[in-house]
Amino acid sequence: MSQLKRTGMSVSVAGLAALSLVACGLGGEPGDAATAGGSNVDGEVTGAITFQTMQLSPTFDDFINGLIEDFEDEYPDATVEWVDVPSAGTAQKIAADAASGNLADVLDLDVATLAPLARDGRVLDMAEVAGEDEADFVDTAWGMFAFGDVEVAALPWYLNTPILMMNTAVLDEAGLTPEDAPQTYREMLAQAEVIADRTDAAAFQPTVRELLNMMISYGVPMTNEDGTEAVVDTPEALELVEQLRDLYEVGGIPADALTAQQRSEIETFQEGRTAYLNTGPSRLGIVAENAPETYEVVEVGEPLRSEDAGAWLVAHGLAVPTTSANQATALAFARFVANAENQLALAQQSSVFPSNSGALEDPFFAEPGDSVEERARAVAAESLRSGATYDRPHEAVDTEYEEELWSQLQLAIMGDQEPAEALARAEEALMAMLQGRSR
Amino acid sequence: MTLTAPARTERAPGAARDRHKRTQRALGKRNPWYVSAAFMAPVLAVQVTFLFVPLVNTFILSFTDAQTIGGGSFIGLENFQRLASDPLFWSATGRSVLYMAVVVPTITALSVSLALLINTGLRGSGVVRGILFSPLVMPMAIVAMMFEWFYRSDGMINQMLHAVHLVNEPVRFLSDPSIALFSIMVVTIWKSSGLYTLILLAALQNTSKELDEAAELDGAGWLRRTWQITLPQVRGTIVLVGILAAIAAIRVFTEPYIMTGGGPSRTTETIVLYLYRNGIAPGTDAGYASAISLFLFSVVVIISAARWLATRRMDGAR
Amino acid sequence: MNSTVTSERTAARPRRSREDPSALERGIRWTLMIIAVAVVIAPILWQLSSSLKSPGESVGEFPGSLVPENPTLGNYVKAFTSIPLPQYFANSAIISAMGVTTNLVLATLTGYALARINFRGRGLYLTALLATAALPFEVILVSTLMVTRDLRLYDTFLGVVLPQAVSIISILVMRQAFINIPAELEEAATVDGAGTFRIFWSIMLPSVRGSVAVVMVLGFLDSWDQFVWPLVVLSDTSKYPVTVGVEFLSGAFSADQRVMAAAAILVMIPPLLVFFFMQKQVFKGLAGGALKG
Repeated sequence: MSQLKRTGMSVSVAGLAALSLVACGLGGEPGDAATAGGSNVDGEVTGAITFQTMQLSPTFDDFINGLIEDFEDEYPDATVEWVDVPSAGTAQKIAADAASGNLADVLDLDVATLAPLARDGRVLDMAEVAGEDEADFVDTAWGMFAFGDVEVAALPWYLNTPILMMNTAVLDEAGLTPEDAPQTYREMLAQAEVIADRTDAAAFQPTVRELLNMMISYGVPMTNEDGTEAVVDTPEALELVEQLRDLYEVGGIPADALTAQQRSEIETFQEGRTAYLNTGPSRLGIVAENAPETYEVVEVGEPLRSEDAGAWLVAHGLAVPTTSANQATALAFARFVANAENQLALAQQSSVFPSNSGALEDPFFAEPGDSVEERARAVAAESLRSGATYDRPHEAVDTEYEEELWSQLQLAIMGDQEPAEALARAEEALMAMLQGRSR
Repeated sequence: MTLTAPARTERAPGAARDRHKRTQRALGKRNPWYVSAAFMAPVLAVQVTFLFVPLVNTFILSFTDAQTIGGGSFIGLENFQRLASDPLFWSATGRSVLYMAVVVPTITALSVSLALLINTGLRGSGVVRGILFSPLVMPMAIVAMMFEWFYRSDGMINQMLHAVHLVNEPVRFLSDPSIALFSIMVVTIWKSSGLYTLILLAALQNTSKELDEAAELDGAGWLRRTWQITLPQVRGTIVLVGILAAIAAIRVFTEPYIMTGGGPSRTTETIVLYLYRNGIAPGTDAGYASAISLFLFSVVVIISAARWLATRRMDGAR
Repeated sequence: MNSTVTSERTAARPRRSREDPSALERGIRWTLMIIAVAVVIAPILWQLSSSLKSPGESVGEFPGSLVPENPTLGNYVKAFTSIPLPQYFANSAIISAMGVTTNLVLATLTGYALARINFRGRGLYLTALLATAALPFEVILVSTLMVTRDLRLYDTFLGVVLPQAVSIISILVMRQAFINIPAELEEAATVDGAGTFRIFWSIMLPSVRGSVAVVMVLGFLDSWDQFVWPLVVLSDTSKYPVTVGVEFLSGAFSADQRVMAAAAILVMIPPLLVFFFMQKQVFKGLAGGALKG
């Protein structure tokens, strides 16, 4: 057995060697530096900073470069380096950069990707360092970036809010017109039966996000006041799930929708297999690109809402990590990008919306024009201006929450499980999730 | 040259193992330590730095509550307790085991058959071969798209089944909880078989043609020759293919992730999907993910060690 | 000695039917082959057809209408001009060339040592290798990044290549290939007085040509297909490989499936070429029938 003993010895020696190496590595964890950094925004606007965006290249190459030039003209001692990262890898890149203390100085992130950083207090609280800007921004947008102890984790940048796209050819076949377009999810579900009955197409394709929105619009609270307990097993939720199940059975929902990939609802709509698509106006351009025939018969209308809540809102914000070596400059740049003038300029060359209320007042958004895009833009802008939008019921209802909810209800919607049982289990699982977080 | 026509009994596959052992022992005694060191040094340099050290680092994280963005404090065995008591983890493990149980024999059998077929004549020109092996280079996104189309409720397979009156309702290949996992297995098998067939073909290159021809002259048919002469010579490679397929099956991620996202209701969630979901995205519990990896690692080590000990004991008894 | 007797026996025996397939058999073989090719090539054909469709045509689901009405190369042009595609291709080429080299060198050296040199700790190493192979890369992503940064390899091609310098599969394949070599070859060379390294270079390596080809293809594919690691370790966008760069063609604002299809086809070509050139090595010298199917 001496061979085994020798092997055992070499294992322990190797293990010890590795452990000591690792201990050295762990000792100097940059994580310590991060929290010690704190906020240090008083200082001159000088030095070099990096600006990281989520997949704005190549569409906005000129715009961003122009922004940077203007900023550098105003502050000759400052330089900005632009890094663009594909959305598909952003979450992992941010996590890796955060863990290794290497985050860029100004980050363009959506709420979901920002969440882990914000919750851990790794970004500057804009309410503290840029509180005077609050009035410039749409209320809902300003409130979207609240996480834990951080009141506003990022300066709101561009927004997206949905409009209702409809395939008039399918509607026609079902004997409906654009005027009959539903105003609320409830109405759409009611109409779905008719559509399924009279046409081959389905009414809509539910997605992870839409399911959550439907629940909210039906009045399901999702969590309690302080987000420590999940509340989804309510009579309203049961009603919704049962309706969805019935729809699935008659074909009001595409049969393969429930395990379909993200963004496939756009493709389904493109192919004319669904009648309604409740999504941001930017998708219109995609439909136009890939399915010109469908695009010809598309009309837009007001987004689906619930009686007391509005349409949902997706926001990108500009965050400054506390590890930034040049916080003053970073903050100045963030405020520069988020100001009325620049936000309007961005919105004018894209199909997103400014979070700056001044920019929203611009006539660009006011008048409905001739094309479908212009009408879409006007509708969405009105939503934003009038405040008929909401973000989330509570910050605890994040991507993980959404996906768990979706996961729990898939089988019930397909008719493989009793809705009541599925909801009970969902509440249990979500409860465990929320409680695990507050540990 | 001393190498011509060794006696046929010496070349028989059974004796190969003995000769191998003899050579091994001879070589072991013969080589001074710096020879093995010279051969192994480069790979060890790279792997210790970039693989084993990070791995140990990650394993240490499994005793903390680290998040994906870093941080974390020591929490002892909490992650492992959570692991042991989470029914979702064990169902995921069960699914991974099922995945292996189906995929490994299927891929192995398929690759061996394909390799043999190609080996003995059904070869085709270079272009045809290039095409046949193209699943190797096809991005997963395209493969997923194609299979999703095949599996659709109004897709080709359902239409065929309906046409021959095998089913009344469309089969929900990707959303029926009892079938979905198997539908995904088909994708893995389709995509991976090419590589293993290639590995086997490379091994078949070195099989003895003389043995084969001699057996043919003795009147053995193709099947018998394959079974008794050709296959035993590549036995080690077939085992390798099995091991590689097992590794691929246990770490399967992309196929279920893209095709069903682990659904419906997690019924196609394998171990790595579970790990990803909890510890990488959208969950952020990196400590927990590390604990799962440590568990996986230990299981494989235990199985390999057990196998190694068993074979050593067998040889010792000889 | 036996040869004359053997050849007489062969001559006297009637030709075996396997070497002279009937028309039916040939027909079946051809049909099977065509079906196999069609099934396999369908998605590529679809991508190809999408990539040639002009802006006015619908790019539907798979398969949609296979023949474009107004074929155009405009999508390829757009793929090349809207993102710095040539740059990305060059980056991928460099990374993959490095990856193939490291994979080849390391896998053959290690495989040989594991197969034919009985050194202490061999079993331990093999077990560690197998166990590590079961884990997804993501779990060590952050730790590996920290090591790479500490070594000042952040944002360099070397930093992209080294952590994945050799794949465990390659090592295992080479090890098995070396095990399969009959011992007489080695024994003969040893008798002739050759040292271990000479034996390795002149005798062993040439005998495993097929597996070497497989390892090269694998090494290339692994490097070419990388996405998460290059994204995380590189910060200069001009260094991105093509897998990352191609992502920029789709987004929230624009997702022209035709251009994406064109890019997908372009990205598939180098691996196909590599495979095409390497596969000769694998298919050469196979035992069995002399006919090409």
